[in-house]
Amino acid sequence: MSNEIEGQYRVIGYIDDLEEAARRAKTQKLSVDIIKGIDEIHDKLVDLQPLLTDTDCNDKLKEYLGNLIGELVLASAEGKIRRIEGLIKLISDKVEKVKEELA
Amino acid sequence: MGKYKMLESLGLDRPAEKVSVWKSMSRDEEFEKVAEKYPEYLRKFLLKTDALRRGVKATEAFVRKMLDPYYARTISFFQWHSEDLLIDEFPKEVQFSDGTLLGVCLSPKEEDPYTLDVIDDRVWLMADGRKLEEIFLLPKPRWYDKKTSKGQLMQRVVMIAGDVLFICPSHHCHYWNEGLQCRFCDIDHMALHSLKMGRGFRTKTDPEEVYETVCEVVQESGRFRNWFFTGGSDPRKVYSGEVGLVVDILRAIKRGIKDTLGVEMERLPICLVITPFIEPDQQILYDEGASALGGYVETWNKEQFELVCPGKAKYIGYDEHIRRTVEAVRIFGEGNVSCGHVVGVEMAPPPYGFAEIDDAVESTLGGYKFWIDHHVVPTGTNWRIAPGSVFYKMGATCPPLEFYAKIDLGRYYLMKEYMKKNGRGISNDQLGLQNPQPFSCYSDFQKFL
Repeated sequence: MSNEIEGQYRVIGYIDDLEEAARRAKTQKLSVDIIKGIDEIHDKLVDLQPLLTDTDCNDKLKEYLGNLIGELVLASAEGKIRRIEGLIKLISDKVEKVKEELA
Repeated sequence: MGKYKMLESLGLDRPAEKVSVWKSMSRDEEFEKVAEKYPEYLRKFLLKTDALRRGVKATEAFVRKMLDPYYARTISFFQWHSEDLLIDEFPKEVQFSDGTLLGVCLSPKEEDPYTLDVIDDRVWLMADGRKLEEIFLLPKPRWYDKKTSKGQLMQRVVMIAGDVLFICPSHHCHYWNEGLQCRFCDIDHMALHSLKMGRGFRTKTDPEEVYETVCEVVQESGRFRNWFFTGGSDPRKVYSGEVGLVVDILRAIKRGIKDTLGVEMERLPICLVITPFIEPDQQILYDEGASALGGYVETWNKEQFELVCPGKAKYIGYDEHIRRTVEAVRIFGEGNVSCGHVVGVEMAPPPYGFAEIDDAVESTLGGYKFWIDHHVVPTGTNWRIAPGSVFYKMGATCPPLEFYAKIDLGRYYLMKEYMKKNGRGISNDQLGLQNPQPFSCYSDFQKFL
């Protein structure tokens, strides 16, 4: 279809991975602050979704995030606290930046 | 023996009409011709099958009726409708007078749908002003509008279908990440719609919220008998995350039952319809208390499977999918393992499916026979062509009613053959009599086995 937004479902994958990271962090009994930090990125992405109105927007998000969320899942599964904290900050900033650019 | 050995062996070899002929008929003409040709297919069941295939439309009176908070309305993990409808005024299923569940699939007028209407305060399934079947709406469970401590409506954590409780562990399927989703599937499309509802949206079901919901559910005694899980796959690390989440949910259910009723249940009446995991993971799920396991191979023809289910083909493969499903019988026991087909996909546009009815039915019944011979129960869900799916974008249309008549009768005859040969039925309570399927008639035929 000509008006199909390429990559529109990608954000679902990111959100799902953030939930997986939070679940893994809970399994590792990591701090409430870490889980809260991951949940905050989750909510930022949910808020961002309405701004992803075309293929370019979705590509921009992909470009900014790369595989950072995948790395967060891995770090959470392994309980690497400092790595997780760094990634939370980095991902959060990137999502904010995309939001600013799209707003 | 001719080309259609399976059809001949089951006495279903009277040739099917050409698809083009059926497509030229009106709804009523098609229905009556199929009913006449297959009198052993109960008219009530045939009506259900046709109402699933063509869908329904709702009158204003029906919509008003559904505003009554007494009745259950559910947003599902698949849309089921053939147009995007972001509304929750509709029930996911309704009931005929004999308890037969009918999935509510709304369709535009081009599909010549049936009508849900209210006359003298009674609900009817109708066609062109004629009452066809009285409809009964399911009452809303007492816990449906309660919220978890995180503010989520419990009806979004656990859904109902008749006397079955549904849990969708993941509303996201990772095959979509690579564009390898099953070609009929709309799970991520539906998730994207749900996401628009805001921050309460979660792709994964939170075990803690399951626990809180179960504590409420089990207090409504006498209403629910079985649990059913299904949702998206996550093939990373040999599906370990997906297994882990299901295990956490199973434990949460057990804990909820124990803390509320004081009962420690070793085996739960739960059927998991999920990825056919490797055997050690199947064993873990059994040890955690699941009673039955099912995997959807979706379509039987190997070449078509690879086209229709590229994600499953990439990460598991057709032969391995089948091998693991058969192996699951060793762990869960005969009759406790099912393999589902999305019935109708066999007639997706070639090369995804067959062009004519008898080729498609011959193929699928061959699959059913294989499953039954291996003590696996063939189950299924009738194909709905939902927005967001690849087939929807291709403009695919549902097979004629005769296709469904032949498939359902063929399955029924094969199940009867099994009974005759083995002196007992194949299906246990988790997969048979007690597991109603609003989106297919196989469980309705099961009533006669």
